[in-house]
Amino acid sequence: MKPRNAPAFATWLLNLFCSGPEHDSVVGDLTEKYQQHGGRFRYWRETFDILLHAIYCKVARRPLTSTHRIPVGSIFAVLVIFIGLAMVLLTGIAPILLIPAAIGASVALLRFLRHDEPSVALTWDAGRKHTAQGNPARPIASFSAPDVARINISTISIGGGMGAGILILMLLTAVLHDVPPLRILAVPGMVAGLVVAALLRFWRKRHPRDIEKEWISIRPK
Amino acid sequence: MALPTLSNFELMVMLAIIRIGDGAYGVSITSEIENTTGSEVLLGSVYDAVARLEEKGLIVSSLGEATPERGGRAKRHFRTTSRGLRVVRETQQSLVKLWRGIPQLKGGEA
Repeated sequence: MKPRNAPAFATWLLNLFCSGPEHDSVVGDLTEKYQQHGGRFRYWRETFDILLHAIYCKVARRPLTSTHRIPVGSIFAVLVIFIGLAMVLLTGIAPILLIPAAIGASVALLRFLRHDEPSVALTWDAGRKHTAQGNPARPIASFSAPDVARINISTISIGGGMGAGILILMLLTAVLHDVPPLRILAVPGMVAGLVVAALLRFWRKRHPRDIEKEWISIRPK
Repeated sequence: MALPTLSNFELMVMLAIIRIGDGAYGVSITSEIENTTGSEVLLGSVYDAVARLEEKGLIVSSLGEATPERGGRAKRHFRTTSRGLRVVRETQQSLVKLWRGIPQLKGGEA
């Protein structure tokens, strides 16, 4: 049977980043899998997965089959912060950054007035010290008048996705406002962002390494 | 010396290697898990898992033969060590113990 030709560019990338002898078996397995099952999309997915590891491992000077995972979330956060800082420095959008601060302050005030339990657990020192962990049955909002407000870091929950979304929206608005030529790129940019987000979600959903985090680990005696 | 822990995916890889026996390698392990569970498994995930298992001393690997359909590249064969078999057996016992006494699961509720 004539061997099928794998996607040339993907193979070129594999040869570029996975040329060492330690990668031979991985690339060979990928080639064999493609010959058996075919599927260019799957080949690309597998290639992308292996390439990410290979690049990371090259940077970290580790073998391809290391146990380290790529900190995608951290990379994304650093990227968003970097873009934000660059936008603040390069354009006149600093006043726009006051909007989320004002919204955040308003929400916090409303929640305080409504005696909602805050997502960031505040513990009050009123004569004696309380902590969320130390007194879990007692509602935090029912504590007596505060002398000192403290943030219990271990109970902070951050709506990272929502925060990042608001930040991106703000930056996009600012850029479109200040740099008219970039308006042409806005729609394809947003579409590309949605596609990347969908692909990441799909990858995350199907990736067993993420699944295993949710599964139990058994420690035999 | 305490036995290492096994995540669920590592356990699946271990079981796949045991089921395949001699000649287990990346593609065969992936296919075994896919055929058994019905879920798609990426080679990178399997290689991650076998690297961890090898570090824990539960499996060993050796380079095998190269075939034309692999582009002339060698296979990396895996087999379980006696320690690995012991860990799998004890993990199975722990799981069986955990299952005992659990009522039949209906509609996503215990």
